[in-house]
Amino acid sequence: MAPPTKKQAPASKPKSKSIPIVGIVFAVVALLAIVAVVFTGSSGSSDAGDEYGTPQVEGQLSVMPQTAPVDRSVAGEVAPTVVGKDFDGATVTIENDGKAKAIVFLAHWCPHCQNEVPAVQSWLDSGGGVEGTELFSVATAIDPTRDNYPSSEWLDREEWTVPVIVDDAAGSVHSAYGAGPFPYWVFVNSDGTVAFRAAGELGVDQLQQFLSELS
Amino acid sequence: MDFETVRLFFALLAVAANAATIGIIVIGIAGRTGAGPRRTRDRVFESFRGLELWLAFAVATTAMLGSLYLSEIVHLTPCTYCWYQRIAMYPLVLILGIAAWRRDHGIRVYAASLATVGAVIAVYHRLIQAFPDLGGSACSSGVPCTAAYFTLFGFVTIPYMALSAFTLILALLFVDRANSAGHRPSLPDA
Repeated sequence: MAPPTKKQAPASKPKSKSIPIVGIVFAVVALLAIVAVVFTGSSGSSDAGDEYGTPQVEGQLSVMPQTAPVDRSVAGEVAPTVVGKDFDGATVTIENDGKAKAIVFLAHWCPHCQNEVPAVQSWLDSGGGVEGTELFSVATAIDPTRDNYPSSEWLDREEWTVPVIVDDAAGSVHSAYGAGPFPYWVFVNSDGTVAFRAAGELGVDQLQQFLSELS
Repeated sequence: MDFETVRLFFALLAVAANAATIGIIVIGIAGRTGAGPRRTRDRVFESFRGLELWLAFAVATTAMLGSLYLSEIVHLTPCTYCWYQRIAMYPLVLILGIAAWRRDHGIRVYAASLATVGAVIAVYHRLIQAFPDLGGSACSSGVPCTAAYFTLFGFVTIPYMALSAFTLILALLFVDRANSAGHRPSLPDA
């Protein structure tokens, strides 16, 4: 390795035609900048407004600990009541209706949610479900700058039949339920109290087992 | 200049960086196979003489400005691995810039070490984006490293851009090494 010198060693031979590297670099960068402007210039900004809901939430669960995938310390807390709308504008309500239920919080950009949704849907399609329990979902953490936006298109594409409540920009429903990692499952007993909650992909087998644990 | 335009520009730059990196590697390897390819290699590498460290500095600077654009202008919060890649990239701007100014080619070993560390982290980060199960089974509600902010052309994500910059810096340092060694054949930096 050459020691640091102030002077560059001269080229050993009289120069054959040398390639104008700097010129090429500038030309390529300029060209790419033009391509980038041309290919995105015409696209209008997407209207993010429709992707958010204005759900009404009452109640607050303790915050989901980030350490355990399944948290049973929440048992006995009363599940917040939510009145919101799905992407078609139909009203969806999560309340103490005497049924045990599971509520899953989905983030469109989360790859684990992208796995969980089709798994649960194909289970439901093949007649899956646990007697006396119902499922709800909340589309939350909606972010136009992130992958797989908008949520509505994603859930349509997956032919998601579980009722959806669209969260607001602040994620109020998700926060009220303890803001767990996605996909975030909260399991509620028929008396309206939370039984336990889980962070991360459950898969069908575990979902079925958790649902059947509810009273 | 909206976000869509800027991120497409950076994604195109990343692909151009890939092309340059592959070009340098191919020319470097082919140059060991015979007299004709060697002349080509010498001519190409010779064209870089005196520019290698400046170009590597330019790549590092572009990557740094890109990452600062994403976090400070568009407010995409960096995840943990993003930070580790920044830790490897930002010092390269300074040390390559100073070395280019002072023509201090001894910087290669330090810069290549940093760039290699950065490239390894970027590869791992890109892998857990492609195979999220490698990184656990849940997306933290903050900034999970498994979830890409965006994917362009089906494969360019932010850590992919970082990887493109790190590898191009390594390729330029390889050219610098070949040029410093005169016309003796030399192995690519590992």
